[in-house]
Amino acid sequence: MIRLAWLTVRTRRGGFAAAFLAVLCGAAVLTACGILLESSVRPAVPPERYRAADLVIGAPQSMDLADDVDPRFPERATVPASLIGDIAGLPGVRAAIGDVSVPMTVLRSGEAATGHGWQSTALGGYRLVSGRAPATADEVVLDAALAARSGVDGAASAPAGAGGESAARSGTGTVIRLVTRSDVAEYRVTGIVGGPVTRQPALFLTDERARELTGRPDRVDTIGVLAGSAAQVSGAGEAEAAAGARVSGPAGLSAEIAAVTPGLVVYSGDGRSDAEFLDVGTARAFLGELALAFGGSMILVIVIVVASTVTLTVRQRLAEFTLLRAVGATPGQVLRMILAETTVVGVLGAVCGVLPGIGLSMLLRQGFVWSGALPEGFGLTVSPAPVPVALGSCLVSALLGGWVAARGAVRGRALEAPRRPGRIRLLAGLSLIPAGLATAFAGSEESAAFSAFLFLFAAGLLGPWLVNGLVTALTPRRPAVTPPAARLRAVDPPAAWLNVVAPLAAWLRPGRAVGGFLAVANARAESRRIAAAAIPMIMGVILATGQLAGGATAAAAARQQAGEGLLAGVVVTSASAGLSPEVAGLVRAVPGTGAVTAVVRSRVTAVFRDGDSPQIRSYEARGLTGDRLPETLDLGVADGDVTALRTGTVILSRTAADTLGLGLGDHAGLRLGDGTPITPEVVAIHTRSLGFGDVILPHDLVLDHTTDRADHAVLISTVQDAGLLRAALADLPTIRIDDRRSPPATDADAAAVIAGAGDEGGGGDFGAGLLLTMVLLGYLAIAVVNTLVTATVARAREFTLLRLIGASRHQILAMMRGETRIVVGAAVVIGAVAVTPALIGTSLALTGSPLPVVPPLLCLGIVLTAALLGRAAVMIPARILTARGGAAQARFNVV
Amino acid sequence: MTTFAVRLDAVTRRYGPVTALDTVTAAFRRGTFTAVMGPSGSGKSTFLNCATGLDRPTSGRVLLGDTDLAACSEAETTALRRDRIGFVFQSYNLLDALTVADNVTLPVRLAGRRPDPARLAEVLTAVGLTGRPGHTPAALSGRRPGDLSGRGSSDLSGRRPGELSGGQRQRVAIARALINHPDLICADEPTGALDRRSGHRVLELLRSLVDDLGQTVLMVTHDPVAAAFADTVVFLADGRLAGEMPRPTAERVAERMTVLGEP
Repeated sequence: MIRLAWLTVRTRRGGFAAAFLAVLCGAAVLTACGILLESSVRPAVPPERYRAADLVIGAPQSMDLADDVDPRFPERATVPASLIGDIAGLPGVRAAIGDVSVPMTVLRSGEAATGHGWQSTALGGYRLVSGRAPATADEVVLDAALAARSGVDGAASAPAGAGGESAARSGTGTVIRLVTRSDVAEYRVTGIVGGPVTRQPALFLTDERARELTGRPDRVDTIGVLAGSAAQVSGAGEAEAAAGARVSGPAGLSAEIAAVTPGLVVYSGDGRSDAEFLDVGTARAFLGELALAFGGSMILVIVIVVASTVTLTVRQRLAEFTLLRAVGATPGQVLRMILAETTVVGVLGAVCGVLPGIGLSMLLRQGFVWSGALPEGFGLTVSPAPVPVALGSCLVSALLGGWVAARGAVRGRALEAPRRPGRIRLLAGLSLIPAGLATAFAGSEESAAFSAFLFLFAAGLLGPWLVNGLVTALTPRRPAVTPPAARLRAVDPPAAWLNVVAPLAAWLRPGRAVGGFLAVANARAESRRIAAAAIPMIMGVILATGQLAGGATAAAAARQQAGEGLLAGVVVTSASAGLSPEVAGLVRAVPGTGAVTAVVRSRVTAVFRDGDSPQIRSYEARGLTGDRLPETLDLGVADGDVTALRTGTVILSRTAADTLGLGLGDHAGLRLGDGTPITPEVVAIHTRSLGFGDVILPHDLVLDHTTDRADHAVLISTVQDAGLLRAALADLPTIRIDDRRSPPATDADAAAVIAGAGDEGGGGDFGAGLLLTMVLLGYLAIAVVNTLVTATVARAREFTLLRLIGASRHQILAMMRGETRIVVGAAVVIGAVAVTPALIGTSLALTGSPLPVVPPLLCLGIVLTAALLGRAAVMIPARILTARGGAAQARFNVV
Repeated sequence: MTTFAVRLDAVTRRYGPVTALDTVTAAFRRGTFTAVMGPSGSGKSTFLNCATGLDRPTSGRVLLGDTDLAACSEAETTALRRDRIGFVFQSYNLLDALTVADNVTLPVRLAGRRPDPARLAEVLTAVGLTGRPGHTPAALSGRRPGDLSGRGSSDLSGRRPGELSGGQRQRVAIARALINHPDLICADEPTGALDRRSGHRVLELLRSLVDDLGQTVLMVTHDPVAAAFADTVVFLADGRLAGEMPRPTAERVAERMTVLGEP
């Protein structure tokens, strides 16, 4: 059977091309998703600054959940510095080194770098190439790359302790200005180190200075351990030489260390990079979520596309199957034959899709890195694991489509009378509508977005009826020669409706020309075929509008909320890595300033129970200084009192409060950015979550639990003398002071300074989501072209026949243009109607207003893309089929 | 108006090394019914293709009425076929998406004119698709168009081809061939897909088009019984004319075909 099927497929390649292509692309996309998913559960980058460390001890960076993806803490959870001594005292530990990271900016170039303590060079196997280690608080050692870029040329590699001349030549001794948050300090470069090439340039201060700069000298990010006997402890340069000790040490040592550091995590091997790069762990968690969500919707889309393409392919060979039936094949045999052929095509397509899938995953990775969602150097794990999943789901969808079509093929007797689509299909489609509406207006953004998929299925099922109704509504008048009996059957729409649809109808039916007449007749008679051709396009319209307009609605709402809520007249921000917390104090001290609010941003995780299962939500959070808050920010308080914000209290957004099931006076179970659990009392409910975050906590609490310990902005209600303010901040060159009254600031400006979701980390995530949406739409575009080309090529015989009875090529092309317009028009109208509940639901959930933001350019883009794709996919094959050679084929005996 | 609906003058058609038609000269008078017969590969289809301008002769001339097809462009021959030749095919070749009425009037629309309901009724009547089925134009002459009484096929014009029997479909195809008042009706195995009774009726219809309406019919067929309905049978063998037979009978045609190599 398979051999016969293989031969059939081989000899009739053309007929299977569409199904093959649909399966191939589907398999490629799923393989890519699988690779991304798998890469998200494995360490993706090798350690850099910790590469010489045998073990790294850090605080847990994720919450342990029994049966769910462990949520990551976005901020660094630190370790008490006192532990260093405890670990160093263990036998087998050669050295225990506390490591900290301070984001710094090199003032002249504006280049971002990270400052660390000198001791930590041993963890990375750094070596001095010139100069000496920093000895005082104002001395610094640069890594070679940073030195070269900052104009501190270390290439001369003068040995340590060389004479003053040599030092001058090598650039050591140069004074550079470094900004920590917004504080500027001068440092003298005392040396240059060579070592691992790091993603972010590194610079090394004295250990005391580095810890002091973190703002919490009693804590360190991680503790790196070098194993080996105490006798071996010597200079930093020998860390690599001691590497042999690793073999004997770590396993046992790891257990010993775990014993003295309960509740902490001991990392070894490639896992060390998880401790080193907080962003890699966060990126992995993000990638996992994204790949799962995207893969999930992609499977749905692929099932529909592959199944409908296979259906189309099988339906085109109905005559062949009837013939087989006529010569004595049983329905079972025909069914098995179709399934065998589908299997052959499905397996071939899926196997051929694996390699492009790997390529696609690499392209996506590159795209994610560009958009900032993944850190540079994030590696993919390419393994055979995702392949069976991709193959399996593609094959199953192909077989499903083949089976549905095959059943239709073997059941019927006469093929000539097109079967009416079944009642079950109608009922299933109709029943999805209330389900979709319920989901759309369930109140949450996620369920509203999901409702688009329900309507997508409904549109797929109801396609023939919708297309038929639409064509009837848009082309109300029947041709003059139709007898009264038929005219009665056509629905007579009311006159008002005619006025509405007249322009559209005029466009759909180009005059009285025969091409348009034929197109309309075809669309009326074969609404099922038109619907089949339109389904991928409908899906494209629904998903493109849903995803992009959903995002636009959220962004516009965020802008509006920020604009309306930001009352402050003056906003202070920084061009370097955040504002030093002291800036707010400096500002307050300026005579004549009104209320001053410091803003720090982070994310918090909420744990709550929904029924029996524990649920996790991650929320955008703000730390705000609570006194006189109403003078700088209008949070749109619905209930409670914002001025009550102090230690032990929280302000929640309406959406967050509803989701968590909390009201005023309740205690919210939250985890701060670094995982610290808190249970503050809810003192107010606000409504501007998109502009200012869902969770608002006291400023100092949030600040203490962020990695960088920097403010995002300082808001000032009024300033009497801007000059005084500027003078007070004059020695902080990276600071920006925006007077929002002259010129009057727009909502977008407000969003830029205060913004909620959608910038910083969110910007990259948004870009990555957009990229995946593009992949999804790209797949649908291929499916659209695939379906339309197949459907057009299948009509070669009809073209020939029309030529025989005297139609010119021009008339046939006009007919096809008319049909394309109907397909595109139907797809756009049906898609737009189907996505409306999802958009309204999203808008209601996000802003409480039923009016979604749909950018006109987006609509135009979607319609134009649909029209161009449809036009190209229909007209190019139609032109080829009716070209000169086509005319010559219009002969007797050929038909 | 010329005496002949179509004339072939020393027409030769070669496909590479194969000579499908070899200096064929033939003329078909207006108001006659001619059958073209020959074994498979004798050049029947090429003959019909050349006679209708669907294919161009390698040498020789084809005159449709007064018009030399060789002088016409592709677009002109298309228009010529549409306006002056009616085609009837073995497989009917109706458009499933169109109603009977729309199928019949399609050539009118293709010519860019508005279909005339009176003419539609006229041709539907002529092929017996209105009134009681099976009636020939002679029996129906004198009836006003639209005067459709009683049950039966009076509402067939609103149906689609898929809902009709094979014989009915071929009648629709013949009505379509008639709609533009053609100079010539070309029928390619018109009864090939029909049972004997329906085929018989279709042949009677073609006969009556010639006798009652003065149409010219050129029919390619395999079937001696079908050929016997014609005024004259023209035989083709190996691309050459192999004689003609006036007032044929099925037996004599079959006999001649056996000589030509057809069992």
